[in-house]
Amino acid sequence: MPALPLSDPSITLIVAAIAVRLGMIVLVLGGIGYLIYLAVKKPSMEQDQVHRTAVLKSIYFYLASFVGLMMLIIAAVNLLSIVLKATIFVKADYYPGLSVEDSCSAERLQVETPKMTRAQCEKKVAENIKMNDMNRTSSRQNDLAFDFGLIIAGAPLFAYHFMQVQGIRKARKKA
Amino acid sequence: MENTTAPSRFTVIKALYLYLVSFATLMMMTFSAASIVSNLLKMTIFTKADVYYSSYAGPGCDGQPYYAGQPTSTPEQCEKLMILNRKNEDENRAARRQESMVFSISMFVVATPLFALHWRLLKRREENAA
Repeated sequence: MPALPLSDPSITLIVAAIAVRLGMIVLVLGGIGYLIYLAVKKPSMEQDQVHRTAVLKSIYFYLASFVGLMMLIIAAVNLLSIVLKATIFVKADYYPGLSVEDSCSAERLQVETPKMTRAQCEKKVAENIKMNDMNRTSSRQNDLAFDFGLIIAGAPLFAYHFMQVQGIRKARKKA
Repeated sequence: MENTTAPSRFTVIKALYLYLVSFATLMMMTFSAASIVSNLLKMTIFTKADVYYSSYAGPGCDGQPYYAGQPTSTPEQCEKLMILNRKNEDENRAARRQESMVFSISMFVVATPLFALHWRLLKRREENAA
């Protein structure tokens, strides 16, 4: 079997995707391992115990802030995408299908829909175009509802926990 | 006699447990709240949100026979089938929305007291430590 060339863009993308996933798995496992180490190793002094608890608290607030921020970023990207599709790239999700001339030609009617007249065929094509437009609108509204849900839930999550992170940093600087 | 004031690993394990459960329940609350808000928006403002109609009415309605030998329907029959399909789709959509709402509300109601309890325990530990 011939070796796959690494210069092939599709192969590069696959390798990159695998590397990112492996990196994320290593990070998560490393984080879990560190938390277990913090929990299991017997503290030698009371200060060590207080320090570990403070580390756990910091990790909690940073993680919660990160999740809130990711929710906001994803919602913002989706919203921008919807705005661009509605204003500049208006044909981005527009799939018109076959035209009336192609769908309702004499040959097509004779072979595929012998019981349908040309007028009925044109009416059906017009209905299909209207249905495509409706489906596009519903897809965009679905995305909008999802994005606003993410923003309304993610904003207070990020705001509160980020403020707590700032408080922890100020307390450490004072100490 | 064991020195009860000596630092114990169980204290850190307890703290780890409280923070983990607080984080997990906070995530449950957050994503279920996002889902509830999304469903409410779909019911009130974005009412066309998950309205997807298919142009396919039924077997024999597209001109291509569903299977060899099946008689094709007349356009009038196809239109009746289409109306019936749309009515079914509307009912399915209502069922899907309600199911999603029920699941989100259940998750929120279960996660909130768990988060409140564990967060209160954490705050109490911090106050005691201070």
